[in-house]
Amino acid sequence: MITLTLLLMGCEINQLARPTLVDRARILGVASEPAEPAPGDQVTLTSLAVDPEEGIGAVTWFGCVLEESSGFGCSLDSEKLEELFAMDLESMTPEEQADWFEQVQAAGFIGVEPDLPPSFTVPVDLLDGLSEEEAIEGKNYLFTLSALPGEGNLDALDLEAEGDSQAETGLKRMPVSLNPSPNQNPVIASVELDGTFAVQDQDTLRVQAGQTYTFVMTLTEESVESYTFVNSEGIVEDRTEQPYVSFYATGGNFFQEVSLYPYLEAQWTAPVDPETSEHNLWLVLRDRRGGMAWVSLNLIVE
Amino acid sequence: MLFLLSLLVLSPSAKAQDDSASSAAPAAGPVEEEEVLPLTKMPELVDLVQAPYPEEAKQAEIEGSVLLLIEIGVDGKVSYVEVLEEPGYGLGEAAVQAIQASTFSPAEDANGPTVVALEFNYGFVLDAAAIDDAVPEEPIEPEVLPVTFEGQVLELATRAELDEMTVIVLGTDFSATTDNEGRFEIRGLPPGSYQVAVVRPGWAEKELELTIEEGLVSSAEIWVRNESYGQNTVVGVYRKDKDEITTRTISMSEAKKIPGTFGDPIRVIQNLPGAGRAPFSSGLLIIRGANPEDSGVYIDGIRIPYVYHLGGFVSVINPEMIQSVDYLPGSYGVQYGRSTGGAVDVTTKKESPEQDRIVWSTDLLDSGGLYEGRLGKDDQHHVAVAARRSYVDVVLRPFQKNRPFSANPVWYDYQLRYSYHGFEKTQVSFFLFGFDDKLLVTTDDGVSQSSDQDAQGDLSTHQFTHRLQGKIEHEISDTLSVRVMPSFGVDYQYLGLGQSFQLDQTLWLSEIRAELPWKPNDHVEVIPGLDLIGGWWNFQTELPFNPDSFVEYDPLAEREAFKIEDEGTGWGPDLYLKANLRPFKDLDRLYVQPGIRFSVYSISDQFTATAWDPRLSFKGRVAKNTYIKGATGLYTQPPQFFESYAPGTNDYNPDFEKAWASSLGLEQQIKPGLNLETEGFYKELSDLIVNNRDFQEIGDIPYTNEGAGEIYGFEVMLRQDPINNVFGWVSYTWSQSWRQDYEDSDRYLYDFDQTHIMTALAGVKLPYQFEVSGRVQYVTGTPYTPYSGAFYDADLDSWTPYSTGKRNTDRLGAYTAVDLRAERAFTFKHWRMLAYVDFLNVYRGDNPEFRLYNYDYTDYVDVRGLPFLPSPGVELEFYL
Repeated sequence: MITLTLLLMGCEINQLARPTLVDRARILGVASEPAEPAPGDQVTLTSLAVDPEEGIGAVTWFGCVLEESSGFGCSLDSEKLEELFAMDLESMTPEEQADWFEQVQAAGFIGVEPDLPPSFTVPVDLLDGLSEEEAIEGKNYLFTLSALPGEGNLDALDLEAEGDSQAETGLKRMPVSLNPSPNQNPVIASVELDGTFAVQDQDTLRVQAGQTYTFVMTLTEESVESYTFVNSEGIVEDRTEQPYVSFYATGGNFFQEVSLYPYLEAQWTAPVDPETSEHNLWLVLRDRRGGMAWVSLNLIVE
Repeated sequence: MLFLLSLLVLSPSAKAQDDSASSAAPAAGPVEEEEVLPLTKMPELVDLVQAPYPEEAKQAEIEGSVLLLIEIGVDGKVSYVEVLEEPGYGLGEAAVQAIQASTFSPAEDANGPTVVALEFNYGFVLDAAAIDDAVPEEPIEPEVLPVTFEGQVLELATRAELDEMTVIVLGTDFSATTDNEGRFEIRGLPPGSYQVAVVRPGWAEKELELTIEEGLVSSAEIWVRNESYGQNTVVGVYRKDKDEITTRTISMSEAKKIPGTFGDPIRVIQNLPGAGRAPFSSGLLIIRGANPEDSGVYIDGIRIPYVYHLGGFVSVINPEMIQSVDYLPGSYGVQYGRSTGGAVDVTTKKESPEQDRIVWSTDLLDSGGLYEGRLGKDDQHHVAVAARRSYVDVVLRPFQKNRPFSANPVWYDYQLRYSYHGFEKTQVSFFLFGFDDKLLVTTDDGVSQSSDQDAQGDLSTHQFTHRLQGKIEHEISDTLSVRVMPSFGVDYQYLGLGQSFQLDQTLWLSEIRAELPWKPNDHVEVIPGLDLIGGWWNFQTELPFNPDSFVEYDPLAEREAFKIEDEGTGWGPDLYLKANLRPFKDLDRLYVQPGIRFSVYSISDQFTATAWDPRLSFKGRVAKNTYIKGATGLYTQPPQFFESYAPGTNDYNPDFEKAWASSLGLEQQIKPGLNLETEGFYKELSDLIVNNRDFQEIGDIPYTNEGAGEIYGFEVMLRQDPINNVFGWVSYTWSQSWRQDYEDSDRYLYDFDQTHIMTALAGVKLPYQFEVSGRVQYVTGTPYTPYSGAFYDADLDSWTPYSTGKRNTDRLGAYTAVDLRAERAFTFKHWRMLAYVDFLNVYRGDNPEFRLYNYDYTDYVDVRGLPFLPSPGVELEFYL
């Protein structure tokens, strides 16, 4: 019956949209720089949020210590935030604006892309009370971000992180530790198309309708990091990251949704009869320890 | 002249008893001291009233026989008569009047006189005297005349020597009835040419030409074909003489005819009241809303871990080895323990047929063979051996092309039975059986199955069971006997995914059942019993993560491979005592069965738990053919094996799960062969084992007995026994099954709740050995918890659904299906063949089996059950 189940599931699942097809507002990648900061470090946050119809007008960011979050994201004081966001910033003095910003940051607000790029300073006391071993392991900081399509009207912001039909909400953890060799974001060395030429981020490619192409990602040597892990019995293990890449496109079809290192490749078939000749394709790399990197490509189907 | 052809086919109940009576093997499974009460005395005709030949028939010169269905009461009087077949011309009415005025000596079983129903053929043959005055002539004294025609009547294929067959020389007064060896002789038949007919209801009528020459004896070997249901099988869903008040015993001949069951009698129980539909033909036993793991499956009283091979299409034991399948949905006696749900007890045959035979069956899924026969010439050594292997992996191969995975299921099973029938007061038998199921789902290394490296690789499952069982029964005295049933075997289970996920468990088990029935008189029987199980277990588990990390799930946490290996022993020496009390002279008037069971469950270095299960059931006749029945009692169940193990702590003391079950029902025989049964039930569940909400890490107590619940409902069944070439039933169950995991949590409809279950099925024999049957099913859909939404986890690139509502508030759509089956038998002198096709889902509704969501839970499709599927097969039976 397992066999029949798999067979029948295989038939039925074809009726459902695949995650590789981006046909609405989506968050595809979220990265912090550095990937694993220490207390007091300044962190810059970026997201890969896309919407093939309207584009993404804004991405809002909120943050909290993971331990203080609910299962659905940061537990925010929504009344306080609504009250603050209801204020007219333009009528405020610069001092009042600075005070307002301190209040919204204290309530968990971090920033809004693209106008107020999200960055913040990791609280210096975040790891206080932990033992030395625990501090090396660290604790997670959690970000809740919402991608708002179109104009990016903040009124559409869902502070409960549930989103609505328009906004797309996601979670991202960021380890904060005193690890002497903290995790780094991976670096994509190149993406090759059909093994013939390399493409760069934001390149525009011309592809033939219905044609199948193979994308192969290669990483810089240092991207697949080696590190040590002390297990629960105190034994030090030498480990190597096992990154994987996820594939997305606004059209066409990927043969598989993800590819595991060292097989960082995927076959993609261009749309046969596309409604539009312009498409986008993304390859997002994750190192499983919170590090991310991505490549965006523009496609013109001929 | 009128003459009585014969007393022909016993009724369902009487037939069952007769079959058992003819067996030298014990009549019951190891846990049923009187599973079938054999008739100790057949009913005999004391006074047959001769029917006057109806004038209308006489003038039209109509001869023939009237097939009657009659019921003979404990007083020997005919209490019911129904005409099943008649030639007309008033013969039926005349036969009814005559038989109603006739008297019999009552049938008897071990408890004394008992009611039986039987088919009775009343014959009418014209002769001059009959035409003149309807008064029979004095019969010709055959012994003074020479034998002119003799012979033997044999069954086609089996070559069985048939008694009670009537050989008629048509157009004459000459006839004979075959003896126990099927032989007959007719004396004084004058020379000439004749037509001879061999008749008996349920058998194809045979005619042949006969020539008698002066001074010579003609002889003939006459082969006839059986056309009746239930030949050599247990017949009757309800047997009044069962110890259990609610036992549905299934006719094997019916069981093999029901579409959708692949000829497997064990699957038939899913068509009976109280039995839920197994999702996706999984073969799960859902009995009265209980968790499948809470119901026990037994082979000759010894519990086995699972009853169906992979996919749930066929059971793990060859159908030809099965004598009967007892389905006990609830309120059963204390001999069954360690479960709070229902029970299914498969009783295997202990005796080989008179003719050695070989059976070979082949269908889409598997092929298998069986040999059973007797060794030596003294009929004391009976053996049977069977084996079966699947090839469904080969069948599926074309359907798996161009798929990222390839599934390869393989199963086999075997059975070997030996029984010795040489002792007068001792029965000895051994049964060796085993079954093995493997599934390998292979994938291309370069194709990622998920973003998780540890979920990469082939999926493999393997499970097997082997058992050697013995059964020794000895009659110590007229009132005391002893039964001992030892068994020894191994259960193995394996689950592996890739290189880093392995579960491996081995369980060596020894079991002994022993009973010492003491029956000083017909009114009292006391049965002390021992049900001991003990064993050695070993398991190895390898996981790519530490289970502790699941408490606070952190996808960025470094995974630490987890491996644990342990071994130990466990045992459960259960004792029980029950009594079968029949306080009235009329033994059938009231039957009461009190009982108590003491259960122990002990896992070495872990814990020991005990439980007392008091139970009481009764069944009484309140009017002619009307019975009420009821039961109440406690049913306890030890923790499952995985719930019994708590590494790192000595404070884990789980208790037995408990169910206080009560039922009240009514049985009404509308007419012989047509029965109506209703039964209401209520079950209060307590101390159910649930996850410990405070579990943080290994060393904490993993489970607690905080769960509770209740199950209630009623069942109705209207059933036509296989009479007159037709059988069938309609069953309906309404029930609700609720659970509450913690005192402060909401109660919810249980995952296996199926509120409405309706099954209607029927089968009919057609001319030329054709037979068709059909089944209609309607079952309420499976409960599920709807999602309120999902949030995106950028670290995992996946969506996690959440629900803000209560558990199982919605249901999938209902299941509706129509299945058909057609078969044609071909009978030859030494063998026969059965060719059949099961047409599954000739009609099907949406039949959603489960809901499949898209990646972000904004869309879904319901995965439907099996599509229309014709499943042909053939069965060959050779008699040696």
